[in-house]
Amino acid sequence: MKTVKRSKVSAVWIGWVILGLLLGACVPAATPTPAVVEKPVEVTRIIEVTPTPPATPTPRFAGVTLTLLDNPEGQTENMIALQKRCEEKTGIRLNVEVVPHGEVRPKLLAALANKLPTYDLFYVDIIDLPQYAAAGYTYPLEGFLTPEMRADILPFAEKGVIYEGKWIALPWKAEWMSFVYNKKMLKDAGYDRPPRTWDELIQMSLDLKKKGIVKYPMVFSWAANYEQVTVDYVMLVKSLGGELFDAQGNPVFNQGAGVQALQLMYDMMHKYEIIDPAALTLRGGGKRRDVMLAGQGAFVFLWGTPLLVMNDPAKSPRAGEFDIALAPAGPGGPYSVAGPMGWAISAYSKNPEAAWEFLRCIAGPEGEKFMFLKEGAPPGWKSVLNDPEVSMKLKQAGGDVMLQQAAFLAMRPALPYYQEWSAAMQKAIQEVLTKQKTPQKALEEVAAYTRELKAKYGR
Amino acid sequence: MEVTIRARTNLHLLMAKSRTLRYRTRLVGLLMITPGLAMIVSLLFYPLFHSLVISLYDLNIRAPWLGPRFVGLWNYLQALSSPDVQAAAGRSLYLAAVGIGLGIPLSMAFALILNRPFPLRGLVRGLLIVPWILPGTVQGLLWSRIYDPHYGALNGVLYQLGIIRDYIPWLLDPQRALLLVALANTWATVPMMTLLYLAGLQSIPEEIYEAAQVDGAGWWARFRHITLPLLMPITLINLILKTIDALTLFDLVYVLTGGGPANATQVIGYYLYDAAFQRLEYGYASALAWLIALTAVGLTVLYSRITRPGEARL
Amino acid sequence: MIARMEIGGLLAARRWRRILAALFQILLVVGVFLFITLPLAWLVISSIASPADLLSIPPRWIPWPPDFSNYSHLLFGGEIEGTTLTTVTLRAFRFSLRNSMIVASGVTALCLLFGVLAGYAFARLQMPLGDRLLYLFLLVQMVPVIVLLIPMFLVMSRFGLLDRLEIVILLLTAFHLPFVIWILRSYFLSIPVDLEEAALVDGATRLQMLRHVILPLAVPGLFAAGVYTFMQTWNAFMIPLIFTSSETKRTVTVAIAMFIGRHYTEYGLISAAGVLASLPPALLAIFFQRYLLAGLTAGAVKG
Repeated sequence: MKTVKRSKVSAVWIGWVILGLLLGACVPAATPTPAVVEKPVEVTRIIEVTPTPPATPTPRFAGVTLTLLDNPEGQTENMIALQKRCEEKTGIRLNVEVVPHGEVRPKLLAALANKLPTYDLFYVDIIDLPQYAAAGYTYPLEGFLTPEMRADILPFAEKGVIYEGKWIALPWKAEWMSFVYNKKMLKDAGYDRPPRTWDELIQMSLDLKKKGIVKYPMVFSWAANYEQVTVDYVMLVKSLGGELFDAQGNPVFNQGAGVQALQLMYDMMHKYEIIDPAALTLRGGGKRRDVMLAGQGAFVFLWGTPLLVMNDPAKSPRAGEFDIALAPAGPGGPYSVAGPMGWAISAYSKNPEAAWEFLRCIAGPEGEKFMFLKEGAPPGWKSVLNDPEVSMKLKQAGGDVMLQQAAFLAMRPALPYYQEWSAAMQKAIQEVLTKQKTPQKALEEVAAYTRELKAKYGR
Repeated sequence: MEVTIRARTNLHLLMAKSRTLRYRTRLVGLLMITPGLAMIVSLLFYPLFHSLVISLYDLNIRAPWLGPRFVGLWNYLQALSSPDVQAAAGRSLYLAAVGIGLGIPLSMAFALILNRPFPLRGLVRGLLIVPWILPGTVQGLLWSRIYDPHYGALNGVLYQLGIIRDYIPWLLDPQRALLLVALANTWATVPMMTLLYLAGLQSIPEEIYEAAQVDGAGWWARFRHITLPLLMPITLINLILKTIDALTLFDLVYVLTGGGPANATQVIGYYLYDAAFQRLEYGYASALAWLIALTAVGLTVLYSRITRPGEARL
Repeated sequence: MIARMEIGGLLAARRWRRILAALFQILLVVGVFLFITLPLAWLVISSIASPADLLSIPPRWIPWPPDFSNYSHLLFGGEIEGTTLTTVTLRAFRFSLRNSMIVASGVTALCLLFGVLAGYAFARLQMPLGDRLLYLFLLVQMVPVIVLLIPMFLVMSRFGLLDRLEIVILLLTAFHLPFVIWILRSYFLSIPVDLEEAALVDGATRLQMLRHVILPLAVPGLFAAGVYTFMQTWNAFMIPLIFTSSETKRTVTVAIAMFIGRHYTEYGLISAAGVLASLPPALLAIFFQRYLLAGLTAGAVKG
């Protein structure tokens, strides 16, 4: 009996190993073009071995290897091409590490908190920039910048790269939210244009509701612990002509437009009933987009280039019904929100000069122009926007509205304690929208907490 | 079972016979745990030690000018007295309670059902592992598609069966949201618990049941006096398993509710992640982590005490 | 035998009872089956639903015609504009299944090897600190990994051990071993001691006895512990994330997390990826389950 069992156990093990090997071998082998799999490795190897063409006679940084940290969305084919171009130009060998979008932060912190030179280049979201800069994780760019560059930056992109008056990063893909509406629904209700103000939007929504076209015309996603809640609040405060902080950095969102904005959120949900209360459980632009695609909403704010998917018959059941307009205005203007990013150099990089050279190639005017022409990524430099090739392409793409919006972009506050502030704000807004607190009371509490944070972390 | 007890005492007597044998047994025991111990110590000693030390410091790495400041047990006291931590820990314990209260009977029943022969037994048992292996993110997205207020399966089923007249935003109500998170989590852990019970059932000798049957013991008596006590060690394992799982749960909540509405589902694992990676309060986060670990071990000791009578009978 | 003769007259009634019992059993099994598969069915439906079906109200339970484009994207690649689906992301997914298989098998093998030794020692031998040592082990596993990542990263980086699957395997083994020891100890405890006693009297060494007497009897326990470790490791996220960096080393959990974009998440794709990622372990489990059942029945007959 014992021997039988033992042989069975070993047979199980053999089976395990065989199955494991089979699966392991099969899965990558199923790739139709194994050559593609090897591509990035091959590319870099070729660059290293074959001397670069005479266009760049002696690259200063030949032999230097840099590591860049990015998320999957960043590494498009065009970005890969741009990186390759910059490798050729500078002689630097680039090692790209791609990490899930939500995981860039822990990954980066594991290296930076230990002061390790693991990464040379990484991107920073505007909301993280003050925190990273204050912690001393970023290499100061002041010494590298040319006066032309300082003069060339676009005003809203500037906020994404400068903290306490110092350049921390170079601007990158400054995206913002666009106001998307369903033109077919509006037409059915007898409107031939999108709403221009928040009052108009409320009127139209009530009308759409009354005519039975859509139950909850305005689509938001205000789930808990979700940055979008803060984003939408910041937008409304700015639209209503208010500010979050005064010139000394003291909270003023607990008075005037700050309170009105939260009241407007409440009214749209509970008084006019044009926002679905289920919005408090929705998270992700994908959910907002889905609601629109299912015909359960008429107005929405979406990041990036949403129409690419929404008007594509292969991906959208309502292709062709959507269009972009300027955001509805309040007394402050037709504001939307920008979420600019920047590329930064690690304070612990062993080759900051080489990193700067590479950074300039990628996120400088030339690189940004390339990325705009290839995939319409909004540039952060004036010279790129004024470039004839770019402005022509912009006109073709109907970027007029997007460009108009660029003049009205609100920014979230640059605070080294932004994470806490935003989390407190999100909680306060949720408490108001679930009828636990009044806007005034909830915002007073956030203001008090903000003052505490400022006392602790402000310098 | 009496046989077993006698056998064990015999073995101890045998071992007590000579001191050298006893000494040798100890040595053998030590040698047997050495590889595992060496591995754990070599890989984890430094990180554990490090986190223990910084838990005594006020260390927020985004404010280097404040510097690491030795604060003794302050972080621990702060964590213990924080209402947010208390609430989050309470929610985690609620998850554990639901997972245990519902999961233990359910998984035991499942194991009893699947232990009897039926067609396609291997297939069904193999499927058992799938809920457990789905990555936390996929689980979160799956349940968010089930509870979805617009296109969710739950709304769809209940609506088509005529049970609800309007779609319900399930996760909007704080208490219900926490319960639904607990249920989603239970769905994933019950299969694992079932598997452990199944293995336990398989090692109970058939003869014991046969003997009991001859004595006229009914189904319930057999379950009550044989199966249940003999499965006690496995129940202990399952209790620990579920408790660790509930205390460290993070990604399901992160994807499904984000801790909302208004922090109603913010569990301790989520709070810890927030403290460590969002707020960068490493000293505080480390103290909290050690408190979580101590709680888990405390509960384990408690569980061991509770389940011991069963073990003793073996 | 006596009992059987006594109820001999009620044979017909017994037959009915048996049929009813079989039906009842099948009913119960169907219940278990539905518990497991209903949510999974929704996952599969979501993975083959066309965009319109995904958003229909009430849901279309059987998407027709099924849309397999999510699977073809995952398996054959190509960039999809306006999504997270760059060539890089899709390529990484294919490698990841193999990597997860290597990591999970490696950790399972190591955990079982060390776990059997230590679990047996804790179950049967007198240990220096007794059960207290066991609790100490467990304490190690219960410290949330989040606070250990940064110091561990420092160590691994200093020793130049980053981006290696071997290190991921070792770290995960160290993390899961304590609980595996607990599980195995419990199963060893449930094995009658008299068998060992006999072997010891016969002059077998501890290791010989472990191999020839205990292990064959503990197969179900080993299987359960193995499945537990395999699943935990397959699902591990933070350690593979932090300690690997190149795309050829990425594990499946990390690869799937890459489909969650900055602003948009493609549900259909994530569902398809979830289905694909759970197939290899499920097939393994079904294979072993059948094998194990066959082995056990054979053993029982002979025993």
